[in-house]
Amino acid sequence: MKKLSVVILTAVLLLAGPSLRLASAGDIITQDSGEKSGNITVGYDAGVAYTVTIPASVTFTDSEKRIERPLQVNNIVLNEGSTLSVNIASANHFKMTHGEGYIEYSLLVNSNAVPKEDSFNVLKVAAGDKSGWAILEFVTDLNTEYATYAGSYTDTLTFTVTIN
Amino acid sequence: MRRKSRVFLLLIILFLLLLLVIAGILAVHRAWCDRNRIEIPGPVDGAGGGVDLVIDPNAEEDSRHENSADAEQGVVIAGRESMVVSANKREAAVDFFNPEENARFYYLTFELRLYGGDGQDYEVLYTSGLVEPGKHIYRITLSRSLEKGVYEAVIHVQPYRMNEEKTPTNNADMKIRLIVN
Repeated sequence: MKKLSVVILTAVLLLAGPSLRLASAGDIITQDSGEKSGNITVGYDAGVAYTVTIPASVTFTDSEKRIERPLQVNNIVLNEGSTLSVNIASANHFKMTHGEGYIEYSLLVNSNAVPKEDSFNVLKVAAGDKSGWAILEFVTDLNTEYATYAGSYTDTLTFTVTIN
Repeated sequence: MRRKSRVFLLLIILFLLLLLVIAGILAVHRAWCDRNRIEIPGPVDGAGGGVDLVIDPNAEEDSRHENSADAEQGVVIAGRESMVVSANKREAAVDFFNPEENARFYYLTFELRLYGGDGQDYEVLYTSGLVEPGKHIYRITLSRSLEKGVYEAVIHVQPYRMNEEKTPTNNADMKIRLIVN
């Protein structure tokens, strides 16, 4: 019976020990120790940023004279009131060239034909939108009237991204 | 006597069953062979007969086809609106990087161009080598230091296919404000 009492007492002390220690470890409890509040600043300076996905290349064949490619801008973070624009410029004014020969092609953006200017706008995204896209459609009749030599006829497009 | 004829009958049945199994195996084998055979018709008069050919396992799809699903993968390029460098110092901290999305497809190169007042002529301040997907360039050395001010600049990004020829693709110009302080 004595042993049992010792065991029970030890168990009680072990379980209650932590709470007893809190009260006896010298914590100062005063009338001021009521609920406190304060502020800390958690911040992150989000810089203006985005990712643009441009079509790498387009290759026409006799069976593929009309090819669609997406242009996408994602993860957009802009300053309030600003706009992100994407313009396209063709190195050879929308002609695939090989030496002095060329084969013409044209571009439609979201099904609308675009003028063959030096640079024209194909996409605009306003601040607040997280993404934007356009469908670029490359079209040619592969007319070889001005293709002087056999070989690979190419053009290069530059996509210019501006934030205003 | 009756028992002897029973045994004989059983042997015949077993023999017939064995024949059936062998015939089945031969039929399956022939059907399998026929599936992999192309018969080239012989001359019209039938002289010479047909020639048996099998599909060449080395023949494969046209890998040069640029519009294949892999080649349709666009190039992903990360952009910013501005970049800050220290005045009168050629060393600069930047973050030019090739996103992971371009893995297996494209290397990127970066060129920092400083534009003049006319917006046409530019001076190249820095040109990188090929940057692999997932890799960053954090420190660069400019071709010259700059005075304090805000300049119109462009980060010209030229992707290259990850093939033997490293073929250049369409490219991107990111207009930025180059802040020198």
